[in-house]
Amino acid sequence: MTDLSPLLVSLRVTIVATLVASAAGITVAYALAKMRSRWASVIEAIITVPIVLPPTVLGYYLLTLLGSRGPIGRAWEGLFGSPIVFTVTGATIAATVSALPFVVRTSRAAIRQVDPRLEEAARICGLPEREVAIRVTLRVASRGILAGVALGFARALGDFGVTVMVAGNVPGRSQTLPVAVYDAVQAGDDTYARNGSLVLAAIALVVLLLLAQLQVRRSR
Amino acid sequence: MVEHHLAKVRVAGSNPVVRSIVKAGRLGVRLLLAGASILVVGGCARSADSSDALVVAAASDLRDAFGELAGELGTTDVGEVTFVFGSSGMLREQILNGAPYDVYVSANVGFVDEVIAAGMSVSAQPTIYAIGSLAVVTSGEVELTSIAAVVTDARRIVIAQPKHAPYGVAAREALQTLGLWDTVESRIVYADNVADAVRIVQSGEVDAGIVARSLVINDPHLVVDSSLHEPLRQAAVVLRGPRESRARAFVDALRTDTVRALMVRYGFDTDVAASGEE
Repeated sequence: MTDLSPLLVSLRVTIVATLVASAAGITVAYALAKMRSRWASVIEAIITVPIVLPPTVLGYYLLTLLGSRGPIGRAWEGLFGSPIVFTVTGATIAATVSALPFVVRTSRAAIRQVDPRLEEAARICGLPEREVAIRVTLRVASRGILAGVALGFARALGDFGVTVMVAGNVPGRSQTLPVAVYDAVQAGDDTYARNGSLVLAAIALVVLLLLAQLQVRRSR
Repeated sequence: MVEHHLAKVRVAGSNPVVRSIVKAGRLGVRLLLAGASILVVGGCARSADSSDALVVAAASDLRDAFGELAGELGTTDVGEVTFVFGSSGMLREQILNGAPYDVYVSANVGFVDEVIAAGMSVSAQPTIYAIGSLAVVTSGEVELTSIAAVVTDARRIVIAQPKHAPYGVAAREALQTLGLWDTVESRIVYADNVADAVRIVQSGEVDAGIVARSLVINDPHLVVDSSLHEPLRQAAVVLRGPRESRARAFVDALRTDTVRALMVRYGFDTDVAASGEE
């Protein structure tokens, strides 16, 4: 593979998107898991809609919001003087929105399964609520949360439909590896398509193996 | 026993309404922080984004010709060029949504007019620099005799999607003019863009395709009589943005003798009346 820029764009987009989706997703999942209100399920449904939506539909909505004709896109252009869509930022937002629901759903289920007696015990020991959340709840739920992060990572790395609509296909800027593979197939560049696909498959496999390893260690 | 005791502790904690409000408040703060971090990341990303290559959004019939062009322009005022290829209609849609492209090169002057009308361009007129043509190609199973014979024999025929690809529109028009469209329509396969159509024929997935001649110039092909369809007027326009002067140099270069000779080698007709600006 001669041109490494799609790989670098992909890695950067995926890492940033996974970090942002994990930070926001775990927080939201915790809040949802602890919420007693019936609105919790409504909020969760809204957040997890991207799992069910076809990526092109999600891409269309994001493009409508973030494009220079959309409300967020216009505000962004007012602030920074350049558009979000068809840039690496656009690709990152696409990947984050795609990854977020996987983190939220999986983490929420994991957090709900934490035995409340453990949390109560911690409270009785005098731990403040924040410490209980971090040192007990999230720690006990960490295997499930890691699984959610892994799913989110996989989705962020593999996204094509949303990315191609929101970030386009600008080589060296917004072109991620999955999009570059598609482009290479269209250009008849079989070597690039094959190598790009191999790299993507290898990254996915390595990350999932690492996470599995981490989970085994955590469960001990 | 223990559970009962714990339940009491929880209730004693504080008023559940107050608690949930506090929690919602905390959640809000965290979401804001998350949002802010996205902005920061976006900001960093943007600065890394301003690499200096000129971004030219070009119709996919130019994939081969412009691939060669990039090397020739490197030493001129244009500098380094990055091409984004796609169907002209898709690129137009991206430009209207704010894609940071510097030049738009369409296979159809109508799309350029729309971009100009939307106020996205520097120039008020498109620069028409060449006329494209259609060619019939086959995967080898069908003999290249005449367009009518090929489309009659082929089980499936690929053309670019006419909804957003000018070569797809021209292919459909040619078939309509020949009176073949109605019999052929059910066997047509639509490709994303004309380069994709070429790939589909060359991979043998379909028997025949009506595609851009510029993409099959080195392969056996039949040129489709250009009187069968509206002319495929290739048009370029300088888009608003930070690299307008280099973008102008690129568009001007399209009408230099060197580039015209290159385009002619790819089967374009560059003998267009001095149209557009000036």
